[in-house]
Amino acid sequence: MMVDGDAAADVAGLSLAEVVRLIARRKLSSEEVTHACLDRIERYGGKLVAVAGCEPEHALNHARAADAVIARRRSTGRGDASLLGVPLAHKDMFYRQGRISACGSRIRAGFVPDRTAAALERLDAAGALDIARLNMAEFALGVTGHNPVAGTPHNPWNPDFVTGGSSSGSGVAVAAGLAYGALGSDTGGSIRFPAACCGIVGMKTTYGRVSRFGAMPLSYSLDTVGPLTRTVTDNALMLGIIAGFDGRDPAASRLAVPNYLATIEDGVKSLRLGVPENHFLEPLTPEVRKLIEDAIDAFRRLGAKIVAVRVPESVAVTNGMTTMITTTEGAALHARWMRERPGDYGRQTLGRLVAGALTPATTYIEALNRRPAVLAEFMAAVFGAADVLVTPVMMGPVPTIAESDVGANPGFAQTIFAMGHATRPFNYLGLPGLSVPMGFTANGLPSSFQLVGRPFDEATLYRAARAYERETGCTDKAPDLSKLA
Amino acid sequence: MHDDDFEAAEAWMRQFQDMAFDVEALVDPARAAGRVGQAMRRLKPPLPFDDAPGRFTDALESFAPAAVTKDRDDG
Repeated sequence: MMVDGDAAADVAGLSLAEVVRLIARRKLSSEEVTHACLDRIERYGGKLVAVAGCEPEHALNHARAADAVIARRRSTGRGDASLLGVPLAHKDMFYRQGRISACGSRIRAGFVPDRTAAALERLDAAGALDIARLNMAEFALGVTGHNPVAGTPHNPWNPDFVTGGSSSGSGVAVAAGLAYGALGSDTGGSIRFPAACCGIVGMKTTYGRVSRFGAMPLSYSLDTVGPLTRTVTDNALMLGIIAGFDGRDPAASRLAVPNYLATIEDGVKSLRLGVPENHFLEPLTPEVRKLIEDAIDAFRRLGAKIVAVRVPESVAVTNGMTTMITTTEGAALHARWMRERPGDYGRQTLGRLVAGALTPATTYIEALNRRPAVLAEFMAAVFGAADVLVTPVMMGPVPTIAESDVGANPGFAQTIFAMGHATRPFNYLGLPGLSVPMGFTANGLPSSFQLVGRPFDEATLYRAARAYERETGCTDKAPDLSKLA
Repeated sequence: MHDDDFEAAEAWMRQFQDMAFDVEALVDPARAAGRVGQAMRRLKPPLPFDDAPGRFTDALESFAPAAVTKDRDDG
């Protein structure tokens, strides 16, 4: 059944958890919700430069198959797979055997992988549909979302503004109702930036929590995989499916995955919320400072205990060390193409990889070997006093595409460095960070705070974020796309 | 760094990395990487000489809350 525009908007505006429930109860069919998403992909996907590839008939065939399974299971009384028939779409770096994965690049424009990403395998096993490949920064190297090679996506709240990167299409697709959830990757902020810029929820998972097998590598030491969704509960639902041990990823943890949904409504009474006295709240623009102070007040009202924490001075170096490790490992991965096809890279991507090729090996190794000690120092200073740390994601409002188009101009490295002030430290430390919308700045664009937790304690972040979401309705608003139509 | 240094870097890239980039492309990222290296070398304490680095995931697991560490997937 083809749904019309308004009905498509209503259906596509539902949360992932709502759609799961409605499909399972057969109030909506998978075909209906898939039609709704495909309709919006057709209407807005191109204008927002969010979609790298989509095969509507293929998606609809999968949806019909899911509906048949649901009907059969209902008649036999068997339970449903948790995401059966729900349309998702993912960053174009999660490989699916036999399907192109271009990684936002010219170099891999026709690349057809021989394997399927572990995260996709788990979503497939849960019955989810994979309806589109989503645009991204070239080779996942880019914090603003600019991509001179594959196209720069537009922010659904205002197309003149950036989406954040590198999981740019994932942020846009979820915020604009093109899909109910999306996978992204985060090496320095690449899930949290697009989540913050597009006003949705994004989880940078603990290093080792989600398998990177079959996901395009950028930096083996730092890469993480996580979900971007419209609500906190949706995010917990997706992470519960994709997390867990996988012997094909050498960094994978064997710690069992908790049931994130079991504790998500438990509230924050007596939870100690750490507010940093140094580093993370400087330099902050006044309007973002006001938003984060209001968010802290909301947590106080909810019963959280607000505690001031002083982060170790070593945190100031972690942003730089993350950048250096990323570009050095990236340069090693890209060396062959850097030699043979330098002209096929965007200038900024190549410039950053060149920086990696210049890094002395001793400096790179020292940065890696310092991680356990820097982590231990951070854990003692912060999580001795607090259960969760709150920081901004970005230190100022979302910039326009024009003003942040630094390319490879003089000073571009400093611009990229400054944008990761509050995000990259947690890639170096390996800690989970959840980006949560906290309101809007004067330019009408969303702004977010970040909740950071102990290793593998994503459950507490979800619990805190859900309490805030319940109190403030922070994920209720959706962008008005009518001006794009 | 001086212009001469970047010409040396360009020659080094060509000779030892087999990569050819003009000096202009090297200046900004090299300065940024240089600043990080300097800051890192000022961190205390210095790296221990005798301890071999371990798997970072193990370091993270050692700080995980008890509620998470009680179960392991050893399958």
